[in-house]
Amino acid sequence: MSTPANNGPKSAFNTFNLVAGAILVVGLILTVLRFTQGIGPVTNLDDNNPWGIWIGFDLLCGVALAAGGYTTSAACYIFGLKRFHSAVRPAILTAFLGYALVVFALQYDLGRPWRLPYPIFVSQGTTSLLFEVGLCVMLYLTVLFIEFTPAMFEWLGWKKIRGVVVKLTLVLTIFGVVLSTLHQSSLGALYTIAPSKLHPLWYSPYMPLYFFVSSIAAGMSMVIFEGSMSHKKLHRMMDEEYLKHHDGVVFGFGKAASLVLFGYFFIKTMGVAYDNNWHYLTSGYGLLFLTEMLGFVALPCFLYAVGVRDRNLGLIKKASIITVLGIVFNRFNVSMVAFNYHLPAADRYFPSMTEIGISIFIVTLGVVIFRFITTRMPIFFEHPDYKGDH
Amino acid sequence: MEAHNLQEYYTFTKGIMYLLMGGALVGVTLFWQFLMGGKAYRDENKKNYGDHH
Repeated sequence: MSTPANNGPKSAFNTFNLVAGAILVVGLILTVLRFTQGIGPVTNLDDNNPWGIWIGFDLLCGVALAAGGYTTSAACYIFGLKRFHSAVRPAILTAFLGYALVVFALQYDLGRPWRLPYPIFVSQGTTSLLFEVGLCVMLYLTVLFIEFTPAMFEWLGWKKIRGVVVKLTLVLTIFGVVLSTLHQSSLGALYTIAPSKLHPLWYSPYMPLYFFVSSIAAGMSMVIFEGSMSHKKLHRMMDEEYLKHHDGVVFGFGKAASLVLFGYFFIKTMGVAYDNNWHYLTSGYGLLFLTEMLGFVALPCFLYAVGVRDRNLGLIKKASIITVLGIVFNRFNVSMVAFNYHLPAADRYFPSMTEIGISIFIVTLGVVIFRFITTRMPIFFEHPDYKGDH
Repeated sequence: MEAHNLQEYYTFTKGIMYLLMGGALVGVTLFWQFLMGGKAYRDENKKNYGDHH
């Protein structure tokens, strides 16, 4: 068994901890303000713009970027691509934390956390897409937690229960893929009820398909991006097995992401043709749309392809960053920039500093928890007692 | 494009979509060739068949 070089950071007072600590303290103060002052004083939300950055970024981007969990586990356990196995645990952990923080962030918008179970257990709105999204996220978060537990049980030394959970892997993976397909697309479907509010270049009856397909590219890009970051910052926690497969995972996911982005570009173009929206491309919003399509879809698609052809890891990693930013750009456009596009500038939404601060706080919280877990539990290395037991 | 009735509108938009779909079919074939070629392909062949394939 190859073991990680080291078991944790040397000093608690390093730059990362100090910066993260400062952000968390400010975030906690903002949280107290949000839950004592109400949503009005701390946000720029109003009746025209009831959903802001907490939905557009924390929820829509959080869910899309957490898609690495189901794509990686599906590739490994359903399609039998065992060479991606070393990427499964980091991807599952990223997805679990992503979804957990989506639910956490939603509380800032909803305001009454104790009523979180109501839509599922007390008053179900079965005709609402939001009900379906809520149900899927609740079930998928549970699935992700169970998928994550073997690493926790190995860390705690609970062999029996770990053995039981590992036997459920395939069932959980299938369940996770089904649930992800449902709610990733439903988030896009949410916006099909507002055809008059969303700009025609982004509005399409195929939005559920766009959201689902783009989430696959986002998930794979996030696995590459997160793997690259971890490779730099958490290298000491990785064993030889993980390091041996790292390049193969990057090339494999880069190739797949390139194909998915190619398909995504075409179905988006078909959407423009379907509604005959070509004339909008010469407007200001058209420029924004072209920037999104050419700069954040076609460009990373091409970079991924060249990176895979030339075995250029650096290029693939750059493409993954552009794709991740592109997904954020797309979700921002759908939920904020191109939403309510017909309103005068004075009535348009721009997030307040508190809203931005809370979003930064939540991202930092995710990074801190990810770091805490990966420096303790067998995420980037195999536990000596279970070597090759998969 | 100026459509005078729904028939003309759909003939136009459907026509464009069929053209795009045809382009996509050709495009995806060429893109597949591009993606599967290059250094990665040569390295794989070299690994499997040596230098004399």
